[in-house]
Amino acid sequence: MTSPLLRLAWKSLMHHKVRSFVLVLCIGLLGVLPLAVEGFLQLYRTQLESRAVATPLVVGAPGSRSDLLIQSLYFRGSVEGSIPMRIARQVAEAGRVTPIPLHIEGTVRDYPLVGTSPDYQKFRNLRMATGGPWPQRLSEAVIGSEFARREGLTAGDTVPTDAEELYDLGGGYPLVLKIRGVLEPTGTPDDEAVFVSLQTSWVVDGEGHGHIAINPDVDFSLILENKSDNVTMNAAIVEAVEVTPENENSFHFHGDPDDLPISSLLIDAATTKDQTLARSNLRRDEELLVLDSMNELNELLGIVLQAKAILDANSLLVLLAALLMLGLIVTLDIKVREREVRTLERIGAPRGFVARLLFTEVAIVVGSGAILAFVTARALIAGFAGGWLSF
Amino acid sequence: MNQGFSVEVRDFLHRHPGQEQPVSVGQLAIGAGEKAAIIGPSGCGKTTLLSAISGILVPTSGSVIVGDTEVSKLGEKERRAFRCDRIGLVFQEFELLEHLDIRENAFLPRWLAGREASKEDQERLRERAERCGIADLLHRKPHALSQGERQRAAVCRALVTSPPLILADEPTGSLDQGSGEAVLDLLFEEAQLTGSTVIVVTHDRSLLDRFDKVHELSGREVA
Repeated sequence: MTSPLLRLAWKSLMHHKVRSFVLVLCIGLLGVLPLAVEGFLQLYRTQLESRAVATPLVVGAPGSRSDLLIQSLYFRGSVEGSIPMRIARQVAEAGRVTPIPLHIEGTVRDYPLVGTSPDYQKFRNLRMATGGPWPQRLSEAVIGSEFARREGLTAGDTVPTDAEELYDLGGGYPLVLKIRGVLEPTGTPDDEAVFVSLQTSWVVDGEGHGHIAINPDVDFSLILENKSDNVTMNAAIVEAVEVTPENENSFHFHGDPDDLPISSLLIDAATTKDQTLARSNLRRDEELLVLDSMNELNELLGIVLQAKAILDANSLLVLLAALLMLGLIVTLDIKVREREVRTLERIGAPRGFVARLLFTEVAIVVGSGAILAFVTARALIAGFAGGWLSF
Repeated sequence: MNQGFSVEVRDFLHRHPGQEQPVSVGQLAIGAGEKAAIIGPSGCGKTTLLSAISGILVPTSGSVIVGDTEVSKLGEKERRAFRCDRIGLVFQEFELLEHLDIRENAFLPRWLAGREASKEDQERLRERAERCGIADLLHRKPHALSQGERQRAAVCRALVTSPPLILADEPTGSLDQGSGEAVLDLLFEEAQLTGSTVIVVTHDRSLLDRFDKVHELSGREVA
């Protein structure tokens, strides 16, 4: 049974529905931002940390440590330099750990194109929802669940990589990827990535190419040079390169395969000892940047937390101002309700009853506002965090 | 039938803060079950006297005895409880809470005493509301009623606890002649049915014939 005090407070609030609703809304809106920021930060921290914990050691070219970490773990941004494939081979030959090379240069519909070895699937424990296996042949791809859902793609479909520079005639052409499988959702950046073999990513990056058979029906005005062993044509005739059984063997890479670039190297170590030894060995090479993921992440989060402290201080001031405003509203409300207060006292309201009644009304309004803020903040977080939180 | 409360006021003096001349009543006695009117010019202290009888205020000096209880000696908590339980109050401006419907307004004294309305209370309300002619209006808010209906609702609230003493401060002041008569009918009918004592402050001399006793506060002294 509702207490008389609570009932009277509720009746009064309901009698002034608009005023009560506006107050609840104001308090709710005041609370949404700090709660949502706190929630997002927690979520970011959890997701970032879990990825960093799962990827303790990252190797790349000297440069920005944070860029290397963010690109290697979360497939966002870019790194300035690259390291040669030779490093991966040397680490593999040294034994104890498994090097997993990553080449992240292109994009597919603005999602990251990740060239890597089949070891990546095992390292991240990625399972196929449909199709498979992990791409090993040129132009084959498996795609993350979120990318598949948003773009409406599935195993058996084809999708071209994005043209890097529209007016760069010397650049690589988009390559048509054949989707061999869709990965199960993991709630990590893998959900939004397109995985291909290293060879495919090198072709997309212009490190390798194939020769296309020319259709004799083409406009001969597009032929730039015609030699007995080679025909050079205007780039305008090629919109996208597709690997077919006929031209697959023509794809090749110039130069030493050991010199082909990779963005970074993830180190898969079975034990802490193996990891420590690998780190120690790699750090001897001054041409390499070796990162402890958690340390780097904590430094990054430290910067974010500094910014949040400013936001928290601001929220505190806004909250203080809101409380003062609320106090003013309550004071004015008492004046407006002077007659009601007098009636309650004359009829026999006990000492302090009116004060408790007003306090209960304020508590209901503030409580409802807080619930509104909490629910809205949770809804916002849930809305954005259905998959991996994007940077 | 209730036994109505007698009311006795002796050497009453009350000084309002900031007011030079105190309200003073030498002697006032109203018997149990009587219907008494208190009249007098504006500002003579009628409402102050009624407030002292109901325990809303404590006189600066003198005594106010209601039934066997010297109200002026009670602590604030006891006076409030006494007022909630034993006195029915009717005010000139009705004093109905706008955010409660008439039924809820009627049970307000019970709620303020920290109690829920009992089955007997519900039954009494139904019966009093029928008598007051507002049985169909119990779920309406005060703003949806006419002046006369509001005053009848206020009377209904005062009667719902079957109080031994009913105090009405200018209950007909905001009403036309017909509505005023009807309100007085209700109060007297209650007194007849339950034996309650009724004290009405009024300046309407046309109603005075209907009371057993009339006390006039002349200036600052009771006549």
